Amino acid sequence: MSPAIAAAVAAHRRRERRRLAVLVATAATLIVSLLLDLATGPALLPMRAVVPALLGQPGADETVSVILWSLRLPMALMALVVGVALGVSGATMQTLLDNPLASPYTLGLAAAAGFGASVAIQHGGWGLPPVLAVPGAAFLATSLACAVILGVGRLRGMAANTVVLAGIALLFLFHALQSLMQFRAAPEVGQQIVFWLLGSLAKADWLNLAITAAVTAAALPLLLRQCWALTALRLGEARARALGLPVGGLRLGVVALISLMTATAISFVGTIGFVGLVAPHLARLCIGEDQRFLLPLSGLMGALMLSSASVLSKVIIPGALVPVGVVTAVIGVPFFFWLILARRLPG
Amino acid sequence: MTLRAEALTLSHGGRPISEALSLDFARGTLTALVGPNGAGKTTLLRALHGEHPPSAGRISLDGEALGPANRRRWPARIGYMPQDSRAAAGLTVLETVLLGRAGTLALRLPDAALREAAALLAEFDLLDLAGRGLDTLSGGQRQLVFFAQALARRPEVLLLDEPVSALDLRHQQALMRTLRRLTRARNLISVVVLHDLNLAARHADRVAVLAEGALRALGPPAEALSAPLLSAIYGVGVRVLRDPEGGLLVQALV
Repeated sequence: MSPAIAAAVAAHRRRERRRLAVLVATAATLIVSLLLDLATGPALLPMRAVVPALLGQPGADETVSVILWSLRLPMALMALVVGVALGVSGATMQTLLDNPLASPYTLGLAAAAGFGASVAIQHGGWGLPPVLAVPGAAFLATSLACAVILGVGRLRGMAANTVVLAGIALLFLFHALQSLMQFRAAPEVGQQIVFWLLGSLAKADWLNLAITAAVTAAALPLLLRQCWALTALRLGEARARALGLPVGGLRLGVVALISLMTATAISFVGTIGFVGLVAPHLARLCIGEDQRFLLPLSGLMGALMLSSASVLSKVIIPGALVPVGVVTAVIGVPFFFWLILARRLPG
Repeated sequence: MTLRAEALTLSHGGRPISEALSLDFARGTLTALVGPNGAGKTTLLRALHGEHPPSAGRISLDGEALGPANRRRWPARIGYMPQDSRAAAGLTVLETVLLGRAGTLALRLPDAALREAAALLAEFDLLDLAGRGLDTLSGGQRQLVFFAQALARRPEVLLLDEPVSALDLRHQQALMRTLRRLTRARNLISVVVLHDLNLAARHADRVAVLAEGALRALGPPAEALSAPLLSAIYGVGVRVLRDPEGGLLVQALV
């Protein structure tokens, strides 16, 4: 092997190690954010009490243990899991649909979830406990939206533009239907709907955390198996086809997978905007388009964004819990403007 | 052993592009597809690649007919370079070449795959650019990278759609020489769409002249590239001369 070829291979390995280091550093920052998230709340817990209670060490403060294990830990972990699901879904959507503005919300999935939840709240959960009925209805409505998008998309060979347009049409439809539900609802019911739509981690408990984590954990390896095909798609559809990749089939399978992942996450925490849009762009700026690294980093960035937003949501107004969906949007929009103005985003 | 198109009818959006097109491409042979814009050259390449199903007729490779059963695995033996050469930000030149084997790569890249991709870049004097972003390259450099990507597929068939359109004179000759050398050395079936008739005359073993979806001539350059035929299909006066080395020289009379 010539020295020049050996040098090019070595340089590539160095790039891979650098990307891995970014992943590790983000994961480490995430652990710090998780600990901060656990420490903050109506009662500010000192870190020296949080860590022993978390590790179940003898002599740990019992009150702190109860607060952590029954309240804060499911919420803090839900922030991570939902952040991962939204970040990975956003990155995959942007690649699959060749659209830098794509996110789980572009396809109207969140709007559908909002509509489903509104219907369930309006009808008092049809006699079922609200903790089951509301996320169940949100999930069903999101699945319906997904089925319509995939159905319309398939008629046109899953062309990116068709999928995006079908999603945007559904976004408007479900927004209108949801407004109708709110318009017809009694004031106290309308308030409940608004609260659900704001997006909040306070709805998290161990059961819905386990469900969301299981779905996300099952979807991630399946997505990673497609990482080279997704990377090739960044060269454009024509070239991906030239490389023998079944672009239509890939879109169909992957959109179904990320819709399931997003639907599960949104149905339990409500609408949390901007994470799915911004996290992938941040990840892309750090490590480029190699999806072997981009997908995990988008997930970690999403988790970090949502976890830090969760911390902020508890400290912005002392003693009050601002819905995390509001925090992600309020912090996310100026940040996104900065990204656009810095001309670092494609398009 | 050949790539064969028999009585091929191709259409696009219900509009017929070619009818009853039959031609063979043999191993170890470089065939240039030439003809005016809209003659159906790209559609024919896409059909041979398995992307554009013909309305009628048969495509076969070494006797195996292309059909619904093998459409997914058909491109595995083909290195196809379409005209579109979009540059994605965030991919390096080496990664772009590696993607030639996107369907077979594992999460952990073996050193051998990286070495092979780097060696292909070296072949086109692009090794210095291996770590550069694809979007920082000129159109011509990008074209060479995508040619290397097509070769990274270790193809038995090469289908190249205007691979030299953005290249300077030196790189045009270099790419065509490499193509001819690889076609012979690896016993490839190579089909290349060219607008430069002199390049076709100099480097191709055979030239297929297409016009309005029909095959108007097929044979060695000296036979296929006749002045009356070229004048008729391009609608301009054409003169075909012999250069002092015995090669063909095609000139438009304007």
